[in-house]
Amino acid sequence: MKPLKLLISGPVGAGKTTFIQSLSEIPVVETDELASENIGKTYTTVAMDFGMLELDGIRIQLWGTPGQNRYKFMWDILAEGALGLILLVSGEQPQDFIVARSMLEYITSQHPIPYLLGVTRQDQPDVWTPEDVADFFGLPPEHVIGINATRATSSIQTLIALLEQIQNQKWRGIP
Amino acid sequence: MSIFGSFKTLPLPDLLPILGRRTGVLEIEDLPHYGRLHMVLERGIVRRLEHNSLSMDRVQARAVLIEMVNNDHGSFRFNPITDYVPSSQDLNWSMEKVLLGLATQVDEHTHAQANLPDPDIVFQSLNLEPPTEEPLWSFWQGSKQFLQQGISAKKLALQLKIPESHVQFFMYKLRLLGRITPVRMIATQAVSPVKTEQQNLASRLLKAIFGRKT
Repeated sequence: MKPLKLLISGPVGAGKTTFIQSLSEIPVVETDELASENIGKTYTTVAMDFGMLELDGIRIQLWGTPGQNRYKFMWDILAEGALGLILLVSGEQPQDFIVARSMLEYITSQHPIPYLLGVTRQDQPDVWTPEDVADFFGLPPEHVIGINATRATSSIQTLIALLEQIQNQKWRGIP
Repeated sequence: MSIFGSFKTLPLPDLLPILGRRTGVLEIEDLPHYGRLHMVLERGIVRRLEHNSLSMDRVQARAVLIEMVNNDHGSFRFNPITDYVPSSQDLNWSMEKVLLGLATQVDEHTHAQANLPDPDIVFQSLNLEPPTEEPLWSFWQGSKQFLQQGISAKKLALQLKIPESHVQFFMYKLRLLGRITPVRMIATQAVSPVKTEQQNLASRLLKAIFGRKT
């Protein structure tokens, strides 16, 4: 079976690299460079991150792409036939919401791709809740999930939520 | 004696008031996007704008005026006329209102610039109740048939023959008013063998995850 593609995107500092690292079973291929401007961290992903996960013999490629508009061509290539899109946005950075919303709307209006919005930094005290972010993005609550990177299971729970979206129902266990 | 010059040295908002007491045709040349235009004025009323000898509709005319205010390209010459022949397609805009409306729209557009939706995002109308105020009302009338089906600002600009940034601005306003929403392509897909296959695949992956966890 051909490997599946899972697209993970979002603005700078949303936690894409951490998310992929926590799911990937191979060392993540990173393209980090020194940030050329003050973005709150020294290194940032300039092109993409790549990781891999295998479930029941099916390989899932994890593609992390930057959220800037100049990478639109990459979103189109990666979204084509992808398993889904997980867009990450930091609940501590409301200044990124409009850019992130635009990105989500661009991809989901061009491609029939299942999607989930992950609101990271939920362990922080001053943070937007997933419900409030869903309201801002105009999304049904089931399309938005809170992510706490300090919990080891946060990424897999996000993947489960996306798969449940595709399956169109909550996981009820093995029949 | 003629009234002539360029918008670089005599911008449109400064020019229009002195033409308010006159009747004639303002010939405008070298405009970006449009090239040559004619604006028919009759003592304080903008009767019509013509491009390639065709009268422009309200949305197109407003877009042209905004372009003329925003850019300092283009030159003009005013030719007085004595006979003005009304037409059913005339705009009949008060010059005073045009000036105020342009100033408001340019300010709003500048303020919203960073938040305008990407021109490729496809939007769809949520309800067909028209907005009550101009210029949104005219834009809505011209675009509702396309918005019912779903269309991007890029494609709508081609249909309406106005610059893309104007359509982005109007879509931004319509969205704030709750008239339009982005299309989610996945939600428009009917049940199909591909969709069923995706659902089965998701079930298989979930089974693998939960099998691994226990």
